[in-house]
Amino acid sequence: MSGELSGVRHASRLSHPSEKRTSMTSDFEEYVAARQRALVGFAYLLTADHHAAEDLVQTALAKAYVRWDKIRERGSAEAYVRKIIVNENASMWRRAWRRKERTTDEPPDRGIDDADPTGHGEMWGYVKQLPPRQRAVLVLRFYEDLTEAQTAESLGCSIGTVKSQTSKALASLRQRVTPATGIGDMS
Amino acid sequence: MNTPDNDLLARLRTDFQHEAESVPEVDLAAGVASRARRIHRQRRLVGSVVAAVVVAVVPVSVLEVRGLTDAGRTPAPADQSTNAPRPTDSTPPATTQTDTTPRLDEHAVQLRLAQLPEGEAPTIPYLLGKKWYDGETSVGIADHPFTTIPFGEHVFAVYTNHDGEQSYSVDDGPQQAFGGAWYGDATPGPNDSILWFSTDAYENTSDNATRPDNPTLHTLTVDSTGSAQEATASFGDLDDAVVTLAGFVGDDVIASVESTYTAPPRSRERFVIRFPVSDPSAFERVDGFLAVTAVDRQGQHMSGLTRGNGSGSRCSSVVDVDTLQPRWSSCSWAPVEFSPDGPKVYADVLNASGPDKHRYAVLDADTGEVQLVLSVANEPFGLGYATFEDDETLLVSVDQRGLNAIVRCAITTGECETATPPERLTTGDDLVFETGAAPSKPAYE
Repeated sequence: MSGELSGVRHASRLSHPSEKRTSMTSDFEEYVAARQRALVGFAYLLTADHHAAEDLVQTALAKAYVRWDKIRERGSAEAYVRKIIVNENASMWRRAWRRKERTTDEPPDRGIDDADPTGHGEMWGYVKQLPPRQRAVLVLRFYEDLTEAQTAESLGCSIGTVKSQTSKALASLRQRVTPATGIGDMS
Repeated sequence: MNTPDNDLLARLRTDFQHEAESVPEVDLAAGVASRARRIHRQRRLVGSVVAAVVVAVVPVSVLEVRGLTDAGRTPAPADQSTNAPRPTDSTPPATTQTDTTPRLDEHAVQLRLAQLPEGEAPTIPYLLGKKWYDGETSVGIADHPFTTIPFGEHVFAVYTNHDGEQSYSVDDGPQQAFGGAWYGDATPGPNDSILWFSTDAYENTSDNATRPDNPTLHTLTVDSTGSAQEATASFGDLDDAVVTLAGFVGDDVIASVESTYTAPPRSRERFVIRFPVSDPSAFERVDGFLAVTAVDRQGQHMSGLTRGNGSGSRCSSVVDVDTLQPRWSSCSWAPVEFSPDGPKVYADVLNASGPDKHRYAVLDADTGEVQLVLSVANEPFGLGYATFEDDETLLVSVDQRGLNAIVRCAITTGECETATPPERLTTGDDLVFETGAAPSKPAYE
């Protein structure tokens, strides 16, 4: 992470957020250009929705931008932005207004015949159908490689909740994975 | 961790990596800059609140007496509003959406619930808190429906018959009733529509009991090609309750299933249920339609969702039912319900986020011209269920800073009033039923 940001730190100083600006400053633009796709990829794992993922990342980057001076000085841009993404995603599933509707083009239980012949995507197809919090726990634990304590802190819950959510999510996946998928015999 | 789990996790990591790296190229710079400017504006606005109050006290007071910050303003026609859908004649619905995401604009009527004038009660059935109103009388319902959800010609209701003293423990009650987070053994085939209920169990650290959380209703409709539309509606406050999920056609119960739930009180949960109804027999007839969102009672207009240009974005189109030719399309609004005689349609906002998401519009059904835009001043919360009382008035349930009321708005003038007194609801629901589509009162008693 620090290597990705080293160029950012040496870039020209940002003007204060309260000053009127009509465009993003160059080092922030560099950061966005360099990291936006990876951040959207991370957000997509949390949301399972491309549109929502881009929305999340835009929000996170906008919030980071207005505090860019402090973030840059601490060299913590990536961690800060990812933290906002996790928080915003958690807020969305907690907020009543997120509840009202969602449409998707894909059936929740995609048949094995529809799977990518390379084997990619079968497990993801199941992960997408997990409740948002269980999906977030899996992503933070097994994609971000956070510890249980770090995951709990990120999601604002207890370590016990992380454990139980992880356990239930994996149990759900085991149930859905059959030998025919080639993912393994869970008996 | 045993070997099968190691295999599972290895596959999980591989798929996570693959999916994260498979996202399409994006260019977020413009959107980020726009949102950053909005944050700056909001911060500046907060900093200047005192000055604004002093300067604006007289005109705001005048406007709020009329219940509107925008009172007296004629709703903007489509070509003068940044969020107006643009009529497109005789072009395919999936390829002509070019308008941009709607934003809060000065033409929207911003409701201030506490300041609205008092009006007559709704003339259509509605449910508010624990009282059911049939348009003439109100009846307190002890075992009121926990929530209801329209689903095609069916109305499903979830209601509880207990709230109190059952003790809970790790093993108390099923954790995944009604098929759990998945729809169990029900595999929808072509042209199937199914509805199921799920919960997301969580663990309470104080006593290590696992309890159901995030109860959610799901509907799924599959077209003849296997493409599916899923909608979800979540709600909370399941507290030591026997929950019944029942489906109605009129007064007839077509399906019923019951299960026990235990959970700690969560007294401030709110929920609003509304989503487009998919009709596979209809939407599969229109090229580009992902789902039908509304059909007018005269059988002349049908609206549906189409794919937008951006990843995951949606647009909508209204077509002539007889010819299936599009009348107009929009990437700003998704029609939800046509007015009783069909000249107007109310619509939910599309492809919006943040405060912009909490907006409704009434459009001309023939042209897509925007006739009224509603939003709620002073977040949080906003607009809930809405329906036409007649062709000229829209009823909408409003939730603003803990106060709930059903509000009536005149479409042509934009003037609004409360149709029920604003009140604080901690339980129950707030729904208005489309005229003729409500389940009758005895079904709940």
